[in-house]
Amino acid sequence: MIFVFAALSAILVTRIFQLQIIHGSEYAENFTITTTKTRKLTSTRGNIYDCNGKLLAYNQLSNSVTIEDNGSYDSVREKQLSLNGEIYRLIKIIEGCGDTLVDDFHIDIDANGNYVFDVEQGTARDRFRADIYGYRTIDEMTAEEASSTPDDIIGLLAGADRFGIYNQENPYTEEELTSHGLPLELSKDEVLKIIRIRYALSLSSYQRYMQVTIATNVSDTTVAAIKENSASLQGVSIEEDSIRVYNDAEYMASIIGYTGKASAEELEELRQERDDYDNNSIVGKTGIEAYMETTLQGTDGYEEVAVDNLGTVLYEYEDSRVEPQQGDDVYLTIDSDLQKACYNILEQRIAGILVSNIAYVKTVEDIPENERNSDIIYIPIYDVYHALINNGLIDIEHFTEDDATVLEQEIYNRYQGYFADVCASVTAQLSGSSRTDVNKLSAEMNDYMTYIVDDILMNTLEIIVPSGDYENNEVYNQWISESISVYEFLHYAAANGWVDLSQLFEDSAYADPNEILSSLTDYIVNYITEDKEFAKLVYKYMLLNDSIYPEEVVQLLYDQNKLTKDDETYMKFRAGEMSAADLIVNKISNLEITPAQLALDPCSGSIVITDPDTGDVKALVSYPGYDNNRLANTMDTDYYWQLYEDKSTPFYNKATQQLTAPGSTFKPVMAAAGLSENVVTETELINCDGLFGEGLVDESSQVHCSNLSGHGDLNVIGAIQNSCNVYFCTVGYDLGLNENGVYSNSLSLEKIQQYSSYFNLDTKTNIQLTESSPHVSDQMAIPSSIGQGTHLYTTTQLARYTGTIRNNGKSYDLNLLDKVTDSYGNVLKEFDSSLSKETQLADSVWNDIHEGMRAVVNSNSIFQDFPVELYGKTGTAEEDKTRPNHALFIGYSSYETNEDIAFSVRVAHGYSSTNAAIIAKDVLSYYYGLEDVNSLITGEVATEGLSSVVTD
Amino acid sequence: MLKQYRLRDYNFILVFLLMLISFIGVLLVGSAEESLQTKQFLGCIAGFILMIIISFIDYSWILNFYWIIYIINIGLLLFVFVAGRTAKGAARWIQIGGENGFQFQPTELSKILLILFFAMFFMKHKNDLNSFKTIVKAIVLILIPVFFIFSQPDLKNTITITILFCVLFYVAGLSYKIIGRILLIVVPAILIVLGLIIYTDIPIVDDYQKDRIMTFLNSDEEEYSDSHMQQNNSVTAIGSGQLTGKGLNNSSVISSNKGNFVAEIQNDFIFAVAGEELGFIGCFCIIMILFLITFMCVITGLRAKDIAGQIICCGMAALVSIQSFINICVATGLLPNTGTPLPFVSYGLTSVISLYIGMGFVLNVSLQRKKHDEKLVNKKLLYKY
Repeated sequence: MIFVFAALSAILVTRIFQLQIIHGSEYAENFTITTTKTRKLTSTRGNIYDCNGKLLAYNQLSNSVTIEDNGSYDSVREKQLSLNGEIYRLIKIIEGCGDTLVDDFHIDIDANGNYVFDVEQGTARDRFRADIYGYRTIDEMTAEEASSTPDDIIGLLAGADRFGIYNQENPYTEEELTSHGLPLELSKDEVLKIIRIRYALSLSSYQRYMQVTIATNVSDTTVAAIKENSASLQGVSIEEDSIRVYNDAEYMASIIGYTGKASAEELEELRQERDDYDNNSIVGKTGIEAYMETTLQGTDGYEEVAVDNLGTVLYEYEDSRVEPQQGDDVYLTIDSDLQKACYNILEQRIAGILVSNIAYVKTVEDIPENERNSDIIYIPIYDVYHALINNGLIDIEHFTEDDATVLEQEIYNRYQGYFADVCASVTAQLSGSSRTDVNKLSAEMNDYMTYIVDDILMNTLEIIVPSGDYENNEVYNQWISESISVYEFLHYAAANGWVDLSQLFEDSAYADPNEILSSLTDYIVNYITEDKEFAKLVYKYMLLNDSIYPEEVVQLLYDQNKLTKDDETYMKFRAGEMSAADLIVNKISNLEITPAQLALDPCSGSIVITDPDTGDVKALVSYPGYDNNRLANTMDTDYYWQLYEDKSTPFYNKATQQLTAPGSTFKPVMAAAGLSENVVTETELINCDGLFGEGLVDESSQVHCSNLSGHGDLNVIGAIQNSCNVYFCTVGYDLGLNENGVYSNSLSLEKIQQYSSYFNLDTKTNIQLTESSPHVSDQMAIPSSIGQGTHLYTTTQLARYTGTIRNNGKSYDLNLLDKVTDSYGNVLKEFDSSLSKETQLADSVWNDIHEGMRAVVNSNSIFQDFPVELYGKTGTAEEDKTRPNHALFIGYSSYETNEDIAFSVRVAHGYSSTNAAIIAKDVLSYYYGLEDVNSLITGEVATEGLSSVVTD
Repeated sequence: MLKQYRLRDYNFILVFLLMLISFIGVLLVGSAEESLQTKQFLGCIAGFILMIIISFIDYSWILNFYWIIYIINIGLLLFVFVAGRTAKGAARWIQIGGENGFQFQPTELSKILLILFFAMFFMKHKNDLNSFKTIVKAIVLILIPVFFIFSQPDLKNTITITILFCVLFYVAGLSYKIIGRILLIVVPAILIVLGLIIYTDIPIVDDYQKDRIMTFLNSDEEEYSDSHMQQNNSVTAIGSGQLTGKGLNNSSVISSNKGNFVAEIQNDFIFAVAGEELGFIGCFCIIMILFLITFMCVITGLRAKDIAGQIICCGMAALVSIQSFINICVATGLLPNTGTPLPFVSYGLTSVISLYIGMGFVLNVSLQRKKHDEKLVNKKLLYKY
């Protein structure tokens, strides 16, 4: 038996001898180890089309650079050096070929070369910190961690415990660094870039073979360079990818939205519906892209391949291949041609309103009294100059860049001088050496000081937080009415614990008011030196005080390449033949400078066009839009922040999110209420003498009619036609009379709310985008009767309300989705209309309202000889006495050349409803093909017919 | 139960060899999978302690309970059959102590128990060993546990235990005539069965088992099949170790171990780690140590006081050498992949502890060795070996 065992052993020894000694060197040299790896086959996202099948969103093939941490190293130190060295080389290659790296990391370098967070203070920043320190929830962080600065974080990540860019205890030798391709010293920027990639890798480190994308949509040169160097770039590969492309971006962005990498919260939600989402998933972030995410998202395929130890594919297991499936396509109800036309009409008309109201003065006060029309809110041309700076079309931060022009540098020098004086004045105010009441300060100082106290100290930094019953506090109210000096107010705040000392002192023990004020002064001076918004204020007054000339402002526009120099206008301007004012107006007129860029009043508007029989939305226009191509894929973060800071708020959807009072467009509801509650009859006449409420309510509640001398006797139809305030205030008043004939505000409001509900104004339209909730007025019944009070509605809600009127009470939810098909065009789902509410009122009531609205159109000179059967109602809503009113127009129409529609138009701060009506007419002319497209949409401002006079 | 022993009869050499091989095993397991090193080490310690304890217990006394041992054995196998946790598709494990606890593989213990059982059984039947009745009884008694093991499914242990059984029977004194007759039947039967497995689809063995055999035989066609890759990688790894290996805990880019290119490297292919990191010298040592352990067991068997003792020792020797042989053949590409652990080296607590238990018995046998005068009687037996 032993012999048997001995023999067996001999066999084994022989075998290993053969392998190790005889063939050993062969094995060692040709060391190829094979293993199986699952390769993901990425799917493409579904497309989005308009109702006619026009392509709105689609994918284009592109290449991405990915990296995978799959190397094996002898030691941790070796790994750090190797990996960082490789990443360093990779960064040089990619950037050298002109491509950019993905940046999901929330630390950037500012213009002064400091590390800064690129998210606001708050949850986003805390979440970022928690991720760095590896906590699941924000609360788990220690106080120290929760307040870590960008430098702290960079220091931690670059240290030996994390990504080993530096090793404090055992520094890397010159030899070590050079042998791994690292330079002896890394710039701050280079360190940051390496950290970004290492960080992204670390997020997937729990799973082997997880690839991380570090650059998308790279050029062919990058692809070639990486493939050439693939032997020395462990774990790096080029993956075929796709980028999302949007057609008609500016027009459709507010509906379509854009895609991007999924955030932690989004991932959590999406994984509840489908479990194939992971950290690298690209998902819709806003709009229809987000709403229909799980439909549009394709299903990735995979296949198994045999790879060697360098990752080279040796063999593909065909049986294992599961093909990727393209996502389903979504068809919208939107007609993109109509959408574009509406958008352009809106822009032209808004520009027109601006141009019509521009006065060539510095301030309104400069217009001689006898020439001033009190109805008009003028736009001084200096406000326009200021707007160029205020809304960033002229970028003041560029004045200090390396490539600033001579003029920019000169302006900046002047600014520094002027600012020094401003600082001195501000300090005088804060320190108490000047104790003038705020309302007695110059307009300039008033602006500065109220900005400093209200915006900076109270709102942004919350250093001053009034506490207790501050609303009844005398000093507080003095401040609100500006009848106290800054110093006195601050001193009071400091003495009464309204100051958050922790932001001023490290050790926030008791400090006396003088200490506090002194510290506050220093803080403020430092703050305003860096604050862009304060700088803009200073520039405003530099302009008004002639420290900067309009010609220089215009020239700055050219210096910063915001306008083309290749035209006659520029030549004339340079030759002195065209004034700065004329040039600016000219540029606004041909839309080279858009109302959105100026962000004056008006700068925005919305149009909603629906099919009243189904609730399908044919056009949902929000002006201004934005270019979502620059936000999808690798987001252009500069562009994002530009949009975010834009005072015309392009991200805020004016059609679905903006809320204003409806103004006179609300009157049909009151007509219905009055008739149905029998407080008026169809033929009953009410006399309008221009003022409502004499003898009924006290003076402050009395309401003037748009016609100050009165409309005379009117029945309901005439009242709608003339938009008579007296008539409808009377209705509102009568609705509030109880059985004893005593007026009750709450009873009137109750009725108003009841009938608003009948017209479905109290619910959202359920449109598939983020929509603000409507608010039926709950205060001041009399003004509420004419659409003021605290009514708040979106343009979508008004459009549906209009449809409800047309349908004699049938109200449909608004709907953007037509159908879903697979990538071959087979219909998978069709979206049906949804009846939201059906209100029964007497037929005569509906007829009267319809007649009234028809009369509105027939008696309006704008619609003279207009062949379309249009029923409409104008509305002018007051919001702020210092700003122009909102302009509204609602209507529904019928004409042989196209389907019936119900629509609403609103221009926020558009001065007068006439302007909204004109826009409506332009839109209808386009829709029914009544005018040549090119005469409607000229690419230039349209001013005829515009008015600033309130007629309703 | 405890007798008076003479300390110098204690087979310290065997103990030393076992410590040595276990030590190497712990180091290799640590290199393969660091997190398991502690467990393996603890297992070795536990097994070692058990071995020491058992070595002082009179094996004859324990063997009196041989039927109980048999029933416990069947019981364990039945338990696994019914309630075992499935690992990689085979119900071979029982999980003890939750996720981070231990996996108990009854089959490993089963081998030891069967050795003990048959040691006594054959001794009881030493006079009528070659009778038909005894042979049938023995076969039936082995078929029951084999059936359970086979249906787990566990082909490798089925084969191992069958071979083991034959060895036990042979040592007990089965006549050559009968052996010859059996071989005459069995060998062709095996060939026919193999033929059926390879060339037809009759489900004699499970798919994956057939895969393994097919892979082995058709090495050219299925070049990238999973199991073939594993073996190739193992061979490459071993070969590349050359004379002295790449060093323990080797983690360079070109390491098959660290590159995770061989699955389950800490048990089935632990020899690949040895080959790559310790080279020819290391592998040679391992093979030698295992051979010496086997040798020691056989020598102890020669000096055993009775047949049962002989059978125990030879059974353990056979077990260690068969498993070692199969495992190293697989790792070096001479046999299809079977999943047999390398005794005392592969990661596998049940296996290590079970073997140590068996070795404990061997030690006890050596403590009760025949005195000089009894040696004469055993001279006859010498010629058998």
